[in-house]
Amino acid sequence: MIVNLELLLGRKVLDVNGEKAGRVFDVRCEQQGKEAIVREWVLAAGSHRTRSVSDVVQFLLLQLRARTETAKVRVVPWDKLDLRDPRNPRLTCRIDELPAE
Amino acid sequence: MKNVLKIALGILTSIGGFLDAGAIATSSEAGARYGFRLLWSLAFGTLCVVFLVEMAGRLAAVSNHTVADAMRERFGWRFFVFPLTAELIVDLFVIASEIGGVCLALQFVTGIAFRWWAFPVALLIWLFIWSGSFSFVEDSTAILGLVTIVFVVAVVKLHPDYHAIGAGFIPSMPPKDAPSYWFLAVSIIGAVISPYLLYFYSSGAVEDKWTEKDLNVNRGVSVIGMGFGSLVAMAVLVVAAQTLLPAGIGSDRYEQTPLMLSMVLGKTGFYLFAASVGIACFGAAVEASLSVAYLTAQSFGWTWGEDLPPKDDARFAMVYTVFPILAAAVTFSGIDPLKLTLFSMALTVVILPILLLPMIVLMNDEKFLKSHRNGWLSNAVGVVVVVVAIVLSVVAIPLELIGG
Amino acid sequence: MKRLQLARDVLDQQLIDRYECNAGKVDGIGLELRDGEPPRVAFLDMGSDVLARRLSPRLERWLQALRKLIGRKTPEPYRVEWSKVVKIANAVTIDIDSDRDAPNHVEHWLAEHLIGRIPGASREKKKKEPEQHNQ
Repeated sequence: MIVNLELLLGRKVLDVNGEKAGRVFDVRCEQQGKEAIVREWVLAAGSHRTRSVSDVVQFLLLQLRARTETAKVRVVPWDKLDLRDPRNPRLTCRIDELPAE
Repeated sequence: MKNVLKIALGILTSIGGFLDAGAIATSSEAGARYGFRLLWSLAFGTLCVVFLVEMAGRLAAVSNHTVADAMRERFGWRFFVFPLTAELIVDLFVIASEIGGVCLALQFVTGIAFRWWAFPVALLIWLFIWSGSFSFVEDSTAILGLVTIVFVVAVVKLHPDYHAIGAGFIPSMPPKDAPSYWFLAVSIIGAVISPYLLYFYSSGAVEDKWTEKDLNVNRGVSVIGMGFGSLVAMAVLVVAAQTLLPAGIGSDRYEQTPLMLSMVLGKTGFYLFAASVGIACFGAAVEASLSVAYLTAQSFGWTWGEDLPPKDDARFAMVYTVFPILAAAVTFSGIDPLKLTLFSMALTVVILPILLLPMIVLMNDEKFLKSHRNGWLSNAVGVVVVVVAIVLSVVAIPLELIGG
Repeated sequence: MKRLQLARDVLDQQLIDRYECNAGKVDGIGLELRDGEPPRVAFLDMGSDVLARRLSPRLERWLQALRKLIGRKTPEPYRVEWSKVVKIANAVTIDIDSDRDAPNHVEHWLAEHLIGRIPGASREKKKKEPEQHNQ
């Protein structure tokens, strides 16, 4: 099954209890030979939506913080995110079961 | 030595880029209506544009990315589409105003109504870009642009009260007609900070293969070049204040604007005025049209380069062919060129925040700027521009709409 | 083993082909989910449909309706297999010939039928050296 990364970015992610875990922010991969393998999903609190002025400001602030490494991100191991419905990605565990970064 | 030459050329270029229909129209209207009172707004705009142009050049020299490339890469398509669309719309009106300026100059000289010149002028703009190389476009608009120094000469001949001029640099409340005063202040800032200049400048820096070694050249060009362009714009304001204001002529009727030079320099002044306006606007129209082509090509990753034969970057060439024609159609519709210019300048201020905020974020990014990230001063100036632009556009433009 | 962050390092980057010509931007990235194995990056997507879809599904439908209206088939987005990616640095280098097999058909059409027919279209523009005499 194919998932489009560009459409996945900014999607809200819920954990197994329906609690909000953040929004998809980036994907960490490892290049092995000619293949790139997904290792971790990165979630952050800010959205990628750009429908209002406050969205835009939030997005820019998140971008600014993400680069200076002060943004609160959650790192999800590849097998802990259920993407069978790419519009509604869900964690397969609770938020507090995620490994600390 | 080579650096001195580069700076000299860059300075000439900046005159071409700085002085355009907007700068001339807003400066002369400000002088004619409020004397020296709005000089502060020109000075503020100049300070901002110096910092912004320096940033655009630094980004290009260090990262080898143009502003458009870097913005799309850093913020993604879904965000980038907003500044891109806003800039394309504003550019259409800006180019229409510049074409209008050239047409007016031709009307002054020939007596044929300006709108009939719109398409011939667009064709000339296209021909210039189509056949010239980047340095040809850069240098020829620059050298021809030197004619605008006539305004500085006129200031010297008028012996204005230099103390009063100095006082104009301190913002003050208007004596009358507050909404129009603030609207004009907004338009001046919009005229001075032309975003197309940032795309044009950073693309030029990439075309000229700038590296970190050119950072000093970049600093020199932006400070001295923009400063010099601003000096001419200030001269326009002072001349208008000294000639049109006492004679009770508002420069809102474009037929009367050449009076500001002919009152000082006679018939020669009239022709020099027409030449200055015509050439400055033509240069700006060329740079803005080219800038639209750069922006579009870089947004979608097409091949681009003003030094390539048009056949090798057909989509890029298509944009600078079509855009001036579209803009000429706006000019041809017969809208008063002066009103069109003031409108597009105010529109520029409205979109400044969405163009400049991401740029400031970008300028703090180590991936692009390495060790040459913005210092606190550049960041502060950037934030101040954005805040002022928001306040001005939220306050001044509705005021003018209600009043006017 | 090189670590990559897809949104930061790959998506929306400039693409360069094997002859160092611009070949578009990385408009989309396809990830392949596999049973019991970590997902892998399958391909890069390019094209106006991909861009429209990123803004809204409705925009993509309008674009396709518009195409139908002028009688053109909706092309599949142009895809580059991940294995063709050679280098990821300032830009993403892919091992294709963009003149032959890239999504540059608009460019070619324009060059053949419109821009190329205007006199002077293939003339080399002379580049002035900065050392030359300048007034």
